[in-house]
Amino acid sequence: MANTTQQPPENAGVTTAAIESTGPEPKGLAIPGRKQLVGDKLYQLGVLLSLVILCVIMSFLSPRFLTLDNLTNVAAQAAVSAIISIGMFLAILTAGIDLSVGSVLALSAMMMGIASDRWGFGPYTSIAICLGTGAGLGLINGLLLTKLRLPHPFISTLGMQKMARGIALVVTAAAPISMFPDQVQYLGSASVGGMPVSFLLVGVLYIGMWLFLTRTSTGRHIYAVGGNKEAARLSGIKVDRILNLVYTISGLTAALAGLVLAGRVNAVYPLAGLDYETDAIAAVIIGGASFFGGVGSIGNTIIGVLLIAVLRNGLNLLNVDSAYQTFAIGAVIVIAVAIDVLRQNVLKSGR
Amino acid sequence: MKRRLFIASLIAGVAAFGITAASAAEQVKIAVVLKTLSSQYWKVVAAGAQAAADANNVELIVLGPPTEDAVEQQINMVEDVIAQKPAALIFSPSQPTTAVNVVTKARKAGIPVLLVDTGLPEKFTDYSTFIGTDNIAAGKVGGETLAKILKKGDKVVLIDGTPGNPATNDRIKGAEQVLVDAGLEIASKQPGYSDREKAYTVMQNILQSTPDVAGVFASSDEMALGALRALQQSNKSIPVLGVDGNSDNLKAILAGDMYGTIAQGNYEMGQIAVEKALEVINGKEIEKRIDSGAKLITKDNAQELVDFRSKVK
Repeated sequence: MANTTQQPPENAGVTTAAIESTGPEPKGLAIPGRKQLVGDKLYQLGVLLSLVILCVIMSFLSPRFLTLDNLTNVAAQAAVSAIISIGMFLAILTAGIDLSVGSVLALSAMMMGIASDRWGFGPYTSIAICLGTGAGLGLINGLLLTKLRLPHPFISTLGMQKMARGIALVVTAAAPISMFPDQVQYLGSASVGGMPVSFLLVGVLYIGMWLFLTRTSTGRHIYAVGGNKEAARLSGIKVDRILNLVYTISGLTAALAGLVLAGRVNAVYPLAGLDYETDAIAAVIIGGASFFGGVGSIGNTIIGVLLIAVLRNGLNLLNVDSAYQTFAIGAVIVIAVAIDVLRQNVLKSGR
Repeated sequence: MKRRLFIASLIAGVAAFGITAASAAEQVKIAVVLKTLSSQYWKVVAAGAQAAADANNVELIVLGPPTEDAVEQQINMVEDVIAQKPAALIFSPSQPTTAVNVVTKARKAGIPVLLVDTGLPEKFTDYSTFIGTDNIAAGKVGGETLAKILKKGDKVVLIDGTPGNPATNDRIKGAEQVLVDAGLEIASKQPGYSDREKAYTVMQNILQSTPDVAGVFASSDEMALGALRALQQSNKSIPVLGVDGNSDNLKAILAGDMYGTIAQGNYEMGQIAVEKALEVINGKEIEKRIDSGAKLITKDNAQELVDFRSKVK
């Protein structure tokens, strides 16, 4: 099914361009019809509109919602999830998934804590160790998939989720490490002109990733691999290399999120990022990416992240029990995907 | 587009049915952020706080993440209540080291912070008070109880929590002090890691070396239940005491298997916290450390506690 129904929304033109530049046009990479493109645009607009409507409702219900203080809070609270979601988006775009992001976040941050606190490394070396650990774990995820040929990234990254969490708990006997130098805390706790640095970082990362995905051949190859692995392989794309890259980036973004979280609370702890993979998956899916791969836009992912962050923040302001918050996020996922499925069916029958 | 509106209205619906009626009156607003609201222990803390709030015409905001390990979500909740500018914040940090930044933020916003159940790292002192169980005192209650029912020279076993956990270690410290002073012999003191199964194994082993044990004090109920099981299997009927007052242990007490437990005053924690918060808001000086008390529960008063808890929803 993935072979015939994939339709990259705003990247449709780009994908074909990529293929023209790399070799013969692969079979099975269907170019979406005009009607379909319009449908995708509508969905994107719909996601954005939902966010706007949610914000309007929240500002009616709580006078505290639309204050600078609170919006700054939402931005800072969304940052960790937003950064993780970049890697998750790439994994889902290649018809995969990365269940290890929360644990990779924790282990990378713990390694930074140990480097700084126990081994006496300077702040920048410690940060490098954090990012290196994340990228390394991500690469292992990729290799488990491409070299060991584990049947699906669900399995390799589930294994990594447990292993990384286990090691994170072992390295300090479950104790947290705190009191970091200012350089380590900068990304997570500083502000520039009233804006949390962490959210500025999110902006830079998303724009960078958007450019990477739409303006570079490697980026287009990621879409192509997600749309149809076999076709991509036939057209000369090194599929394994692309997958390794995707999971390495996912590990790296998880580590970066760990760095932001460490700065935010001025501590690292082995249970950091517990269950964060589910929020990231939810954000990517609400943002309209297809589980079958090849479809989705990074710009919608950030809207998915913000939707969840606003929902949580708003319900907190309204003093709503967290049990309902959990329920509400679950309901939004189901409805968002249900609408997407309906839309696909309508488009198909209209053809 | 209509479907999008449907999503939005669903979200609004979900939000709306959780909203507590916002009162327009000029009430004092106090925020309470607990480790979770999804366990009985914390529901009782929240009920105590709510009772004190109702009695004093306080508007209470009560939040807590779905689980005790949702550390960042709890910190987000504290940030979100700070934005609502409450007159005081009552807070129980899930992970004390990570909570320092957000408490500092509350203090910068001029909000007095009262800690309940769990304190912050020792170096951090910018809070109004810490209200919680004095674990040494709770341990002493256990030691005194055993000293009363046993006689001089009797052998007592102490089962401790995880080494390095101050709460459980302090309880053992308190009990040991009283027992030694009363002239009883500490036959063995071993960690049971606050786990029922581990304490069961520890007790089995102790019974091999010390078959003439006369009494057991465990620093948590889970461990007391594990020890009790080992004793029952070797047909020994001696007094066993735990700490916490959890519902399983209350059942064992009512069945006559367990001698008793030392229950933490968690209802009082919530209640005292709101009352003390009002004092702080009114500019009164309060003590930096307040003991919320610990009470011996035996067959005589276990039913009362069970009945009381069933009323807390």
